[in-house]
Amino acid sequence: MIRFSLAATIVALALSIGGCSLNAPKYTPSLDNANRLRDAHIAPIKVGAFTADEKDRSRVDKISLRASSYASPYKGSFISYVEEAARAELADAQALDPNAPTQLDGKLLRNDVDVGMSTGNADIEAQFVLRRGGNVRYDKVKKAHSEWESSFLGAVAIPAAAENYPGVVQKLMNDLFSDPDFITAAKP
Amino acid sequence: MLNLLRLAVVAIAVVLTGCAHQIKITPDVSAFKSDGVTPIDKKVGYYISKEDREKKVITPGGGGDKVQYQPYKELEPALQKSLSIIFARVYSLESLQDPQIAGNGLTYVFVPTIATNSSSDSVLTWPPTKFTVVLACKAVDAQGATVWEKQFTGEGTAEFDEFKSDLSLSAKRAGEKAFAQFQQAVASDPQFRK
Repeated sequence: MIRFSLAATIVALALSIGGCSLNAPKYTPSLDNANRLRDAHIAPIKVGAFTADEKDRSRVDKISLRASSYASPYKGSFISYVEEAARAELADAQALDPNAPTQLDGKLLRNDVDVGMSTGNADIEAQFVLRRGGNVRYDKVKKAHSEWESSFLGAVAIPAAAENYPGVVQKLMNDLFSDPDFITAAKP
Repeated sequence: MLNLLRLAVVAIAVVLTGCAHQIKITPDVSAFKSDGVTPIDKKVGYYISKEDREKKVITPGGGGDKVQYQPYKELEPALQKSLSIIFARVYSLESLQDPQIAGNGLTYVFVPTIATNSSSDSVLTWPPTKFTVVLACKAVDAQGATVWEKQFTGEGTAEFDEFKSDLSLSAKRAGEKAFAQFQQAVASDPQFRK
């Protein structure tokens, strides 16, 4: 009985602590961005395929949380995660149109998650370019930083990082879609 | 050696036992569909108090552990999405006397009350296998009179094979179900189309 209890405890601990694969939550767009973009009456926008420089691709497209892998729900790619975030924001603002002459492109430059012993950190950086008729109307690099309470225990720290990562993408999107230069560039 | 192992296991178990694992219960709002909903060309608001938005709740998980989350903050996107599917414009309000009510010509303000609970039939894993969201919501008109009040219950379940890659899955499913009922009820109620 004692041996069984010990074994059960070890298995439980292994399941609790051990490395596993977690899925990132799907992106949740912001009501403020939707209202702001609707109020601004921006032109419809098509979202292009976001990219990364080849030298950065493996670093920004995949995320590990200590020993655990962390999977993007969008084609397994965090470049696609940022692309889908932009698409979701514009869709909620009723400004997404796959046939629009205005196109938003993005290049992911940085995408780091640090599962610290007491504080978790995420940093993201991307270049956004808005084009219409071959002309670049907006070209800026945006960055965002996010922090959350972490732990030395993987069973606490890894799920916390997994659930908090989308927050830094939301901050990046807020920075882009609240930028007056972007809104001016996106007007008809 | 066995004593050392036993000590280590007990020490870790003591640290783990009773700890509250952070989960995030926001459902996948991209799954909220507008199919069959006839939009209402009105502006509405919703009010969640600052205290409610910051409120942290701890409910049971499995193996004697607990889970911690912020029900109002984390279900707010579901409320926003449901209302946005139905109404032309949705605003978050600071109070029931928010100047945006008159300033933006809001016709209704929705005020949710959220209760949650969770449980697990597993002794080996901490994520809840069952989660319940009870959403009670009232709508007041621009004068503050209650014109609509209903309650919805969403129950979500998830087994190990499902939640091993999404530790909040049962909670997300429960929230999605509660707000799907809410959305359907608001969209079909003639009160909001007067």
